Amino acid sequence: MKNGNKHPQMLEGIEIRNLVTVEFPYGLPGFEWLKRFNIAEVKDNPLFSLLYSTDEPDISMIIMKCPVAETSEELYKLVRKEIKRYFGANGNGVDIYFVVRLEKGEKKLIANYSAPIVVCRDRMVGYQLILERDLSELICENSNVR
Amino acid sequence: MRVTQSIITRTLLQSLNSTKESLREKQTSIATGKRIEKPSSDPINFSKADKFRRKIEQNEGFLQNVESSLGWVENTMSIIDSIYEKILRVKEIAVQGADNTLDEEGRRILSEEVDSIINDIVSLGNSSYLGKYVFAGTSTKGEKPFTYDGYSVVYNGNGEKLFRRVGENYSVVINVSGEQLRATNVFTVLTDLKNALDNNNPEEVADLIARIDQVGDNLLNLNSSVGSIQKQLELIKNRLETANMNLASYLSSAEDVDLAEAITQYNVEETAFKAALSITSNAIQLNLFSFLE
Amino acid sequence: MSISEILNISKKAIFNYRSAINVTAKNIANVNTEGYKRRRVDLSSVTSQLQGFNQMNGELIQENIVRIKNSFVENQLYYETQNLAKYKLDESLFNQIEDIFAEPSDAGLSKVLQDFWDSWNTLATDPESVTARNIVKDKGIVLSNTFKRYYTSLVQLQRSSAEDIGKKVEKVNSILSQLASLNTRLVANKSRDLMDERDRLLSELSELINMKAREEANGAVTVLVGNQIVLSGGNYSELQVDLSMENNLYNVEIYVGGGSQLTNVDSGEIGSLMHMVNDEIPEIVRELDNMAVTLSIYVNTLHVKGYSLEGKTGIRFFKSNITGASNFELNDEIVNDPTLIVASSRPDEPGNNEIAMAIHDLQYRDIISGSTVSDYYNALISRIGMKSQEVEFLRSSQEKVVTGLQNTLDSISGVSLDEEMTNLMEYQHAYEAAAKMVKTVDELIQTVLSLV
Repeated sequence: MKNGNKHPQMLEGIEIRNLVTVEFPYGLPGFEWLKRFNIAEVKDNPLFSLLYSTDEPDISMIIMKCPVAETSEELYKLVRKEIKRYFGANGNGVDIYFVVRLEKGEKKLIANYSAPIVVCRDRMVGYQLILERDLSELICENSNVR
Repeated sequence: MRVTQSIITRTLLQSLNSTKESLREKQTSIATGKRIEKPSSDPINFSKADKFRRKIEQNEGFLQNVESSLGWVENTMSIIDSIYEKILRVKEIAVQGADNTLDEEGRRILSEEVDSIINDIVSLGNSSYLGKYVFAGTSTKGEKPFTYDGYSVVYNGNGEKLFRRVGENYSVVINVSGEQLRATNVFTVLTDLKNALDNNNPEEVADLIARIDQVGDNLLNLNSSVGSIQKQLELIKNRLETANMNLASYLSSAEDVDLAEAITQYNVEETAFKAALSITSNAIQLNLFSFLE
Repeated sequence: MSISEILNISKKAIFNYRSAINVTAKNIANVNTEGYKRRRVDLSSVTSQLQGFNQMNGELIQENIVRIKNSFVENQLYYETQNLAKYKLDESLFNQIEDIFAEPSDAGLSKVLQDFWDSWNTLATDPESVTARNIVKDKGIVLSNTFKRYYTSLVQLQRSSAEDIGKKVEKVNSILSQLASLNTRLVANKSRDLMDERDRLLSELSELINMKAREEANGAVTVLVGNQIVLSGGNYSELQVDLSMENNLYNVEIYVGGGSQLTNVDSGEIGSLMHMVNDEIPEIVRELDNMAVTLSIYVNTLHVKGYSLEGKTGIRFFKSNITGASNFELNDEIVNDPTLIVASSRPDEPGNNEIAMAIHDLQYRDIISGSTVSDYYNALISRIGMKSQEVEFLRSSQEKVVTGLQNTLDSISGVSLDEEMTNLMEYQHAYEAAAKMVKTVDELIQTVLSLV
């Protein structure tokens, strides 16, 4: 799927909407020099969004909201604590995303639960948290799935 | 313009040819799963993708270095820890030896124990990790770094640093050299203690107790500085792993034909979805394709 | 009007219509013959004579069969055909070049070079290890082989392309020879078939090389290649190919009949090959050579300062006399004894990895034309990719241009079956009418004669 340089509303057959621009003061690991990204929801698909750099629109990733509808309070608390600890930022009103890629050989989508992308809605600032503990357990505890 | 036979044939042939061309490219991309089949398919994105692929490989090289460095460092810490444990026993010996009620024979026995502990510590100082001496600086092979002739401990290694590359312009020093170990005074204090016990001199022994404490502290400090290297390495490791996952995700969205298909065809049905969740550490695998079928 | 006069007109009409039918029949037979210029019989006066049969003005003149030709469009077509032929061949040649480099793949230099750098990192992590040294040697050999493979394939491509130039120039000369004799014959007899043949040859010529054609008053055609006359009347000049070699690479020059050099063979298939042989391939080889030499110098400079496991120093990693990709090889001593590969910057320090790290670090340093070796190579491949993509686009749009022009030419002079059939029937009817007229007149004469 090729992105960028195209009309933001339409990317090769994937319609997006609700585009927001978020500042990432530390960039993203692997892309430390890119400080500003657009995040757009995929139309009719509440789980996935598209993250792409405003400076280099070809650099893009699929990100995913927490797959469990009732995201635990514990999860939010942990994320807020980490943001405060690393970035000194206020963590109220955060959106949590996980970076996704396709594992071709096994036809699976892999989400990275140990490095969530966190967006602070009030100030439109984002960070990628590198956690010592990965959140899959926390999320799954909440969804009663084992 | 009059339409002649050859015009019709020619135009038809041309449109047939261009359809065939685009079909071939589509087919190849599905077979390989990658959209950038060769540089001319998409020169600009090829250039970017190639750079990022190389970056992932470089990072993997760094990650390997981090892993092996962590192994070395953790091994070093556990050895220093063992030495510290011995110092705790040495303090007890010193306290006993300083006791005026102890006789010469008693001190002689303690002296023997100290001698044996010195040998143990020298042995620890001569530890190997993966065939290399841990505390020899860069003199990692050949003669043992420490020798003890019963009177003093001699260090034969050097004080050079072992560097490991963990980032483009970034190295870490992973070793504690024998000189640093010697600088804790562990050997001088212990040989002094042995002498004092051999001399049957309780005051001398008593004076050494404070120094023994100091050696303990020095060892703890040494270990904690190694511990901070360990922490640093862990952070670097996490960052490299996250970077590589981000890079892989970018490459996936730039090159994998099926990703868009997977995303757009996905239909949210919560119960069915939860059933499809399976967990492994660091990642959740969504069996979307089996779920879609 | 006298009976005989009527007869005369009718007879002429019959002849004219008969010839018109013949021409039409020939048109139909030749509908699929390329280059067949449709014949139109100029029968305007005949038709009006028959219609105004009572008018009886003047003789019926059969016009010479007029050959339709739009020579402006034809020359444009030659020009665009040259370009198309060039783009087609460019596209094919660039594809071959891309195949040589095999990117992106594990056999491509991008990955092979990264593996080489990674092997030095492995050594830096394990500077005492013989195994690590074996890996460095292995990756070094793969690197060397990749450079050599690229070089050999590029040189081969250049050679065969240069040979192709020779063959195509022979073809050009053969065409010119045929055109010359056609010119002579055409001046004497402006036969339609000969003209068609000439047009076909000119079209073939335009695919091969950049040419212009000009029809003279006497019917002969003059041909220029690169603004030099190569065909005039019955005389033509052959093109000659001059091959020279420098640094194992060919250089091709084309001369006109022992005269001055053609500097402007820039179109047609020969134009494509010339550019590839003289410019594109040598430039790519030059850049590869540059990379090979740079790598060998920088790695060797560091390596000679280091100490092997046995304490030896002053050892080169690559050979000392490397001039380019063709002789980019490891030092034989290293190949025979990998323990000579150094990691340490000082003797008796087996754990010292300074030199190995420094060699590994070369991948980040701007050591070639202000950029890293990887970036330099990446730029080379991207450039080839962009040219390849551009030429593909040019070729496909040029196909439309040529098609458009051919259609234009066709509509002026091509054959349409429907129209010819219609004409045929029209002429047939007129013929029959004329024949009837003769019959009637004939009967009149008989009557008259019998009356007498």
